[in-house]
Amino acid sequence: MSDSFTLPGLALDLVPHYLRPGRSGPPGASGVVLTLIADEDRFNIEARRGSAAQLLASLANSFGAAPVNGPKTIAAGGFDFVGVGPSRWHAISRGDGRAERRAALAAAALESATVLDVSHGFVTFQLSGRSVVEALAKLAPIDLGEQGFAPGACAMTQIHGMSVQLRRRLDGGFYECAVPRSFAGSLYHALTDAALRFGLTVEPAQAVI
Amino acid sequence: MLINCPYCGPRDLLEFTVKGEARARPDAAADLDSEASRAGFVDAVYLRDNPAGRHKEHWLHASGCQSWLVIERDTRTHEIFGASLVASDAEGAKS
Repeated sequence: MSDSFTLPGLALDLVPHYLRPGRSGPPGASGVVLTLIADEDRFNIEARRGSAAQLLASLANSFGAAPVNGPKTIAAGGFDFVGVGPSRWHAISRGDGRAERRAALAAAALESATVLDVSHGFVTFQLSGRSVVEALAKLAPIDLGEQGFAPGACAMTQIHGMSVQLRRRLDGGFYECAVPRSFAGSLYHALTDAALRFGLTVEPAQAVI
Repeated sequence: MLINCPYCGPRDLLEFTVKGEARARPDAAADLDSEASRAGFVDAVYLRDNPAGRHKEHWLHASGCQSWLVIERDTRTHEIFGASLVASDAEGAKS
């Protein structure tokens, strides 16, 4: 698999036009902190018909754990495997060593699944803070309570008519909204509008997006 | 109105799109130019039952897991009796 898009010089050193870092809303501690996730690999994995069991066995063999066929997150081999549909997952990896993980995923999955690199097709916003659930509950028509949306839960749902992948990280405190890239500006405005009344901090963009 | 998606769980109606009556496809293996075959295709393509009562329909969970579902509901009360994946082997088949 080509490693070209992580080479220095090819990565886009741009800050999206919609991102306005800073503090807004009522005084006091921020209830919501929004961060644009800059460096992530995201692969869409879809098992070929009749090959789901083979794919899961192969991933378990390579990474020590297999994704589950449901809207949940399983962490294995440096990836978060997030269920997005029947026999479909997003494999998300961040930080250093992504090239090796990408090669390992390709070796483990390509026999029994279609693996599509959608890293540049999606934009992910990370939300945290004491009021994050209240802010998201204004937008998403799903149960975000502790029972309905436990750590690791994932939901493909819609926010302002946009199809959004909403998930709660396994550590519980961070929520993430991923959308196709062309919707990112609209989702950013929806999220910041919803979070403003709780006090919002938008963190500065990291160097590479 | 909540629809209990087999994959996602209970979700709001606005995430779904209805296609119409769930019915078997006409037999494409037979002589397609025969009178019976033509009538079968006309029936499948153009004619839909519209009962006042229980009805099986195809729905797409468009904003969710993008699965096609078969949903049985009462067209008078909108009560939903069950939802299942069209792909019965849960392999994501879009049949």
